[in-house]
Amino acid sequence: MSDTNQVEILLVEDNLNDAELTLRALKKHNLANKVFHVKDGAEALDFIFARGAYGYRIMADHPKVIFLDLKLPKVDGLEVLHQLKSDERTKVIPIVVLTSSQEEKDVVESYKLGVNSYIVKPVDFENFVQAVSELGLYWLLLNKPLP
Amino acid sequence: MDNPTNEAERAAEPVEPVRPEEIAGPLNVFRQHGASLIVFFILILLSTTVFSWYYTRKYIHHQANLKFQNEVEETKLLIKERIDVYIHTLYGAQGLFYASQTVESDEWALYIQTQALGERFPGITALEFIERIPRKDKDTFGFKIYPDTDREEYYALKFIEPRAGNEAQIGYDLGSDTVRLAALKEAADSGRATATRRLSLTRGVAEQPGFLICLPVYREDAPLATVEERRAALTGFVAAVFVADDLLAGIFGKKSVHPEIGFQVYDGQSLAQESLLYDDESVLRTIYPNFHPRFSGTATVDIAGRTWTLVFRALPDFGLTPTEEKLPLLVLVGGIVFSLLLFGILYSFVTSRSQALSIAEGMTAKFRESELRYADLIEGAPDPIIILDRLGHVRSINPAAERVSGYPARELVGRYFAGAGALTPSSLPKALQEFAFSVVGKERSPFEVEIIKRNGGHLTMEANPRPIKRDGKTVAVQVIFRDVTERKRAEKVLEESRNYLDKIINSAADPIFVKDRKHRWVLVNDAYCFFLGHKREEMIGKTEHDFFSKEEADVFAEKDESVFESGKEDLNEEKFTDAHGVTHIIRTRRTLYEDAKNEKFIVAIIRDFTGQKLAEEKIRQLNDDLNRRNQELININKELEAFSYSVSHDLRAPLRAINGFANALLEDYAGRLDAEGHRYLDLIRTNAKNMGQLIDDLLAFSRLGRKEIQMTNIDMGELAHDVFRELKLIFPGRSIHLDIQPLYPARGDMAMMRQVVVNLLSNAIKFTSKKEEARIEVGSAVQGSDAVYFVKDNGVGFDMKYAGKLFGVFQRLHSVEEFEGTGVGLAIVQRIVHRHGGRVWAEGKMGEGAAFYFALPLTLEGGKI
Repeated sequence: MSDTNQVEILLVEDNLNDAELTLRALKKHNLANKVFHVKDGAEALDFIFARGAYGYRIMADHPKVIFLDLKLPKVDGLEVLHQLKSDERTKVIPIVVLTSSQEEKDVVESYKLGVNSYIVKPVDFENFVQAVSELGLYWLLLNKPLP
Repeated sequence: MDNPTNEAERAAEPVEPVRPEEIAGPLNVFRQHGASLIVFFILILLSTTVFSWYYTRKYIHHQANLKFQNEVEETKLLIKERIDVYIHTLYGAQGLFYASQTVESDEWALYIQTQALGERFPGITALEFIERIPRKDKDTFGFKIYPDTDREEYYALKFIEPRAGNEAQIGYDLGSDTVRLAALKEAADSGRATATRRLSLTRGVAEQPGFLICLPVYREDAPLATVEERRAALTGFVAAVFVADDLLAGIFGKKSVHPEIGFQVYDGQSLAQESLLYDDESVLRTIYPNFHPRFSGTATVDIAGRTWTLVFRALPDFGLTPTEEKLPLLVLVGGIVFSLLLFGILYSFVTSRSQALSIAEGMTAKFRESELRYADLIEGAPDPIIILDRLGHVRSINPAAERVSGYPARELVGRYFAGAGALTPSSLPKALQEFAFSVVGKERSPFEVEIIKRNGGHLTMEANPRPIKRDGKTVAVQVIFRDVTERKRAEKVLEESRNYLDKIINSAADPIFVKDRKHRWVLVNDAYCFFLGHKREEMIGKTEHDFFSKEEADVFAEKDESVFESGKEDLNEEKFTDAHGVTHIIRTRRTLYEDAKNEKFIVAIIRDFTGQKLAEEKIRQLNDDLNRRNQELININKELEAFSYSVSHDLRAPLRAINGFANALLEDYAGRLDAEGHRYLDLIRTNAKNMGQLIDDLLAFSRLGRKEIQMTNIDMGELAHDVFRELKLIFPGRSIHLDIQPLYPARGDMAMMRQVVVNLLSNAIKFTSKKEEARIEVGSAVQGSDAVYFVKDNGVGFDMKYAGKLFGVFQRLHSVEEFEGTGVGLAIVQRIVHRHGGRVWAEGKMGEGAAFYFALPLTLEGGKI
């Protein structure tokens, strides 16, 4: 995963347990090799906009999908969502909110900001794996991105 | 009003320069005043004549009257004297009975005859002796007593003289006649001669007015000091009978009192026909019908305890001798003749001076002309005008005055204005005062007088007196009148409307005042007086500086001044200390008012906001408190939200990790774990899942409290069917018999109500899982103003003693092994129903099923199933 320009899934997740379980789920379906994991909102934005530590990246090579947690250190998920969806260059990137929050407020706000999908992380691991796998498959394999 | 006065004065001006000396030159006094001197002398003579005639006439009349009074007095004395003589005769008769206790008829007759009744006393018709007879002796009395009445005692006629022709009267009980009885009793009690009232006496066939005078006879030597003693001693009476005509004829002879005086005698003081005793005037009246007496008079005379009234009327002819009576006429005629003669002599003397006189006439022509012009003006003036001389005599009145007052000029001219009866007594003092001012040359404002018209009607008029001056001296006073009756009426209407307005202003609860340009109150209403604690009389004409501290008053004055200057209405809040030292917060609305004379006033209405201010302050404080609490609640809520948020994130994450990694362990290391290891990992995963569920339910429950209710109409039947269809998918393989009866529609939040139905139905399904055939019944009923919905099942039921715990959070009556669940479902049901203003309860029995009820307020459009 050293080639940050070949990333297909950007996983934004501060909880390492969740991140590992997500990766494990994706791995089961052979989707884990092009996943890049960042641990907070600021890092996520740097990655996408190819700046700071990710200044070397080519911005146009954006990931095929972003899995975004909402409760994040530094810049929270909704803010990340807002910045990406309000920028012409990045708003085409499909973003799936993957969060523990079932708060209606969060759901509504996310959709208003243009989220493509909103998934509540189940406690049950099997369901979780199923959800993550379906998402990965859908966005990476079935969804035809904009040219 | 002013114009006619000025006109009149201007018209009068030319009188001034007419001076005989200027035109006639140095004529002697007689030439200048000849004609008037003659007239003057003649007038003196004539008036002396008239004066003499008047006094002579008055004197003659007076003398005649004295003569009449003499006649009256004489007649009165004569009657009194004669009656007294008769009474003395009676005393004589009484003495007869005292002298010899028993008197016989013959003795009585002898006495009367010796007294020569008929000749000496022609007035007495008869003399009687009346004996007092007690009842027991009635029958032993020598004669039959009549009329036959039953009485204590009788007063029977025993002797009468002259006896001849009067025998029938013997035995007559005088006590049977009230008039006679009254006099007898009075006589007996007093011991004096007492006359009866007028009686009708029968003589022959004629009834004639007359009376009796009776005198009591007592036992000799009996004590007579008191009434009782006199009554006890009474033996009888002597009485004289009088026929009035005979009596009076006896007094005056056959002639009347005086041939030219009518004379009537009345018994008592009433001049009624029934008390008429004697009348010789009727004779005069046959000769002189409807005569107007020259003199008339009355006199009273006392006759034996009664009073008679004598009425005298003298014929017009009555008087002094004819010569004496003609004296005034002689004086008058003589005087006039003498005056005329003298006039003739003087006239012939004066005509020789005709030229001088014609010059004098010429002199007066201008005067007359100007007078004429003045007269024309007065004559033509529409307003009544009168001219008074310096002494207040009416000199002339114009036609308008005649018309208005109804008095022709001749009836007023020459009369003293205050004595003419044309002013009401209440107007007189003012009129006299104003006249006096005019006479001394003062010009005064018009004043009001009340005029009495000739027909008696009253008129209110405005009188405007102006002195007319000659050489600076007032020679006359001209008074112009204007009828102000109408104006008075209008003023009255105005006053009424002012009273009406006053009443309105004074009944207003808000203080109101009006101030003039110098800030002085000109109007204050009752509320303002009360507000300030001062009387209206104390305030009118004063300013606020007279009542308030300088500091406060300055503020008010400044506000007033700004309104006076800008003319703009001002609404201002002020502090103000009342009479009791209480500070008020008032709001004063000041408006400028400009009257017809361009005088400016401030009209102000005050509203006392003190109470309102206090209330406002209190409300504000309460509001602040409320806001603060609200803010606290909002903060708490926010904290709670943050807490829930963090719970949902942070509490679930470890569970997910536990579950996830346990699963990873199972997958990756399955071969290295024995059966017990597998079971432990399964237990870890199950517990983690349960805790996850617990957290989800708890969050859902807490969210319910915050969520806003979106009210819609809900078809509860359809909802139940819908929910059941979904639940069947969750519980496959269960055989459930569900009976959903028609349900009342409800009004509520669709999602929440769905949650209620889901929770209750899934509960029912869950707790009937041990039954071979589950039976669930859903229905509704109306209870009061609520629609009650229920879900009944034939499941395990519950012990009613735990019914109260059913709806608590995390309260479970069964173990998780028996029936899975977190214990939040019914708590959610309760919370939702409560938030909809309803209530929940449950009924159940162990092993026999349960019924859950919830009631919601009936919807307005409800009632239809």
